[in-house]
Amino acid sequence: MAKKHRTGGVTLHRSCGAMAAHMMLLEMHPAFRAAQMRLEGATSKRRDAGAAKKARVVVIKTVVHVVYRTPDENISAAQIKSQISALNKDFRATNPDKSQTPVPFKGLVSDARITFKLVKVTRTKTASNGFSFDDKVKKASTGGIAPYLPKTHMNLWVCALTGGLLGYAQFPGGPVNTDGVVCNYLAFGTSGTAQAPFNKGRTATHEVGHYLNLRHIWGDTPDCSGSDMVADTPNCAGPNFGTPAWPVVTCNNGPNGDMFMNYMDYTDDAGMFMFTAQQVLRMRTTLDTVRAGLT
Amino acid sequence: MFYDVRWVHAFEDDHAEGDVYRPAAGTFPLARRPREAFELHRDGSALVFQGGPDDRSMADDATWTDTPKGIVVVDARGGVLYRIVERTPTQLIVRRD
Repeated sequence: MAKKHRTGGVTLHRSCGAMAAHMMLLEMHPAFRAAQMRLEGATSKRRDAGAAKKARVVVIKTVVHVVYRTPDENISAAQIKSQISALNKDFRATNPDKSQTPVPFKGLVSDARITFKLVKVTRTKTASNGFSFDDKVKKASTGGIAPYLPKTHMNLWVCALTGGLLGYAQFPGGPVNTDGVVCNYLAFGTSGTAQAPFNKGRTATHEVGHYLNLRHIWGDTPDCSGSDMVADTPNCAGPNFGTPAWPVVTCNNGPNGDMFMNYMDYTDDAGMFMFTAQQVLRMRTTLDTVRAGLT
Repeated sequence: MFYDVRWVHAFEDDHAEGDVYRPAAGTFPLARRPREAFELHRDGSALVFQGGPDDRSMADDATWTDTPKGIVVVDARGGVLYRIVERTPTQLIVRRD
C-alpha cells in the first residue's frame, strides 16, 4: 500500500538498516538513483492518468546462465524449460492455483501480459562451492560469467548459493554489468533439483518482479510505516512465511488482512499466486521506460 | 572462532533461550527470507547484515561492548540490536530484549 506520514509539513520515513543501506547504494550510484527517480515519476504519472488501454503482450528475450561445480548444479534443459513455463503462467495469470485467491482479492488478480522466450543457455564450470549476493557469479574473473546483452535481454543466473539464499535481483537502472536475476539451482523451475517448498518456479517469479521494479508488499520496514508504492496491496507489518491461513490481519488491515498470496511476499511457492493491477502498472511502466530495450 | 566470523541466523533452531546464530561456513536450509547476520571485530566495530528490498543482504555499521549481561551490539543510532548471552565455537544464543 502507498503511504505517507506527515507531521507539520515534514514527510517522515522510518526505515530499517537494510533500507538505509539500499538508499546509500543509490547515493553511491547517481545514475541508478536518477533512473529510479525517473521511473517513479513515470509510474505515478501513469497511475494518475487512470485506466489505460489494454497493453500489448510483450516478449522478453531471456538468457539462462548455468554456473556449476557439481553435475547436479549443471541443471538439465528440461528444468530450465520448466522455469520459463512457470514464468509464462505467472506473468499471464494462467497459473491454475490463482483459483485459491480469497474472494475479496479475486478482482485484483491481474495479467501482466508479459511472456518470456528462452533464447540462449550458457554453461560455465566454476571452482566456487557456492556464490553469495556479491555478484561474483556475474563475472568471469570471480568464477561466473558476464551478462549477455543486458540492455536487450533478461539475464538469469542459476547456481549454488550459500546460506540457504533462494535468489536476489537488481532493480531497474542499476549497473549494466550486473543486471539481471540470480536463482539458487535448488529453487529453480519445477523439476530436477528444485526442492519443496520452493519447487514451483516462484523464486524466479518473485525476483523478476523486483527486476521489473516491484517492492515487497510490506515495504521493507519492520512495522506499518513502509510502502511498496502500490495502492491495491493492503498495508501490512512485515513478511509472511510458509503457507498462512487466510486472513492474517496486521496494521489495521482487517477484515481481509495481508495479501500474503502475492508473489512479492515471502511465502512458500505454493502460498503465492497473484500480482495486482497496480503492480502490473509498475512493471509495464518499467518496460516502457528504463527497460524499454527488452521489448 | 568468534571475532571476524560471520554469524548467521539459523532461525529454524531458535528456542526459548534465544535466537540461534551459526558460522556462515556451515550449511543452512533454503529460506525465502534473507538471513540476518553479523560480524564482530576486535576493535569494537561490527557489521550487521539484513535482507534488503532486492533480497540481497545489506551491511550496516554497528558497534559492540562487553557487559555483565553479555555482549551488546548497537546500531549507529545507539539502538540495541542483539545481546549475545551464550557462545560456543559453533553457536551463539542471541536475545533481542
